[in-house]
Amino acid sequence: MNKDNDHMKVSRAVAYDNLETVEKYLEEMAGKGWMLKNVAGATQFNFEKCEPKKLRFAVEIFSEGSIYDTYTIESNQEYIEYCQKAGWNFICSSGKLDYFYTEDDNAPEIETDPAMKLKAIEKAQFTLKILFPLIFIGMGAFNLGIQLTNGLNALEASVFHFSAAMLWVFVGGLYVVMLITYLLWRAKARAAVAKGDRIPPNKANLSFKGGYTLLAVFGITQTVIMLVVGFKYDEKEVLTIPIIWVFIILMIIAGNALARFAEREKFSRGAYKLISIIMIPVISSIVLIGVIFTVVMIAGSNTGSEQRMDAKDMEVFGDSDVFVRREGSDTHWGHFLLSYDRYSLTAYDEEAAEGLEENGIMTIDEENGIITLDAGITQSWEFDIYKPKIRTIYERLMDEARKGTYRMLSISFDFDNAVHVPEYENGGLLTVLNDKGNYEDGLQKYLIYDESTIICLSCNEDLSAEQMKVIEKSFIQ
Amino acid sequence: MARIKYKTLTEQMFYILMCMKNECCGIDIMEMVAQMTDGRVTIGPGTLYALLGDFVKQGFIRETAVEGRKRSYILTDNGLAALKEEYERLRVQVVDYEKNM
Repeated sequence: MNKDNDHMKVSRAVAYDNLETVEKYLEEMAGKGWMLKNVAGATQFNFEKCEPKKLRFAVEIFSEGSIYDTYTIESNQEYIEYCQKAGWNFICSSGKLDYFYTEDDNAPEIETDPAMKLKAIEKAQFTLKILFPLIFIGMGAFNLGIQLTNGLNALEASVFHFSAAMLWVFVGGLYVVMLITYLLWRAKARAAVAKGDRIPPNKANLSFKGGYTLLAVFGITQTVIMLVVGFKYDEKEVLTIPIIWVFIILMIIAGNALARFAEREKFSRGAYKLISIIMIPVISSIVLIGVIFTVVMIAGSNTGSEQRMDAKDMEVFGDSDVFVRREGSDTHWGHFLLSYDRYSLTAYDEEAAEGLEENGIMTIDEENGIITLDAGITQSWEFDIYKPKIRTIYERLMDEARKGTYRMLSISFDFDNAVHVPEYENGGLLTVLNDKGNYEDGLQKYLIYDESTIICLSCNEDLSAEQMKVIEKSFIQ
Repeated sequence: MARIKYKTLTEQMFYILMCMKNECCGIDIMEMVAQMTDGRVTIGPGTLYALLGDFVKQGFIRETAVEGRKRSYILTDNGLAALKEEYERLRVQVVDYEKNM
């Protein structure tokens, strides 16, 4: 609320299915000596000081109106004249609504047919209360469905996936509540109209403050949790979550600013249309990119490679130590789970493994097919590595691994330091990380894209062309 | 805008159509109906405006003149038929009442 002696600005949500509340509010304000002057940007009520008066207000949906510009439509002018003739004074238009007041207690109500009034409300509310909820619930269900059918691992082991899921649960949940309360109200209203009663107001609308508070509480909570957890477990992808929220806030601010600007500059109907023509594809593409991005992220995180290298092929590597290693700084040791069925016994360095076993770093459970490492490096051929960062998740995954039901999670790489190798482009793509991309001097890292999976090979020497060919043959379709 | 889907006319529709037996200005109908019914039936300006649009679409009335924003209308044969049908329905209702009560 922004107030001086003669003017007051109040921001308020306006729900088309509960306009009675707005009318009552305006009556109260007039009773206190504040008369509505206009409504800016659909939600900002501007009042002017007046003598306290007992007035009746009517806020009416003009169905032919446009959400951007109702006042200047010729037919709205005609409609306003009808209302004036019946004793109602026009105040302003905002969205599809026209605001009127009268001092005359005997002036007839503007809408005297409840069935028609209800139809107008339902038509005006369709996009917001039915279409949007269905789209967002659908998108949320799709996203969560993919995540859940892929197993809970990605959700648990990746802060990014978890926060994306949280976002969908929040958005989806909100829209489910919105849709159900609206449909319940609609059924009640239809029944009332059929009996010839007045339309009951839909009380289940969030107030302006309530809506923004809910959004802010969720946004801040999620952002803080994600940042803390993300940094703790070194997952930089979570930085995109605050970016989404910053984007949402910017959209709200930009939308309001645009509406105010358009109002002040008295944009023509054509200009409004032009803005919508530009804005709608822009917003839709951003949403679409977001959906594709999450789908790709999820798909990429859960696909394991079944490729193996023939023992014969491995001979070309001679004495080179080639191994899969995890990413991240060396201060970040964790629990590792290697998949036995992706593990090539022929290349297994028994001596090194014994050393690891003796030191309690590595345990081999051949019966259950599990090799466990408590260190970052294994001197062996290994094409996939699971990297759970949280002890409890690790334990659960171990349990799943024993039953053979767990899946793989891809590893994030620093692609800024990747060097593209064009000759390996056919079919798959082999990228070699240069020295800057390595965390240990003298280690060369080879990333192999295999469909949506990334396989990482590390080696203490540069691989020769012959060795590269073997890798290509073995891993790239 | 609400459309007329039902064969029966509401009381408000009935009176609006009756007003347009002779050419008249849409905006004057509110007063005409009030006079015709001694104030028993009131038609809100919003409802009237919406119904006039519907009646034109339905072919019950047609526009005869536009003066500035003032539009005049007159009842068409379709509109008259709808009015008569409603009248017959109401008459049958009255006869049934007299027979049974």
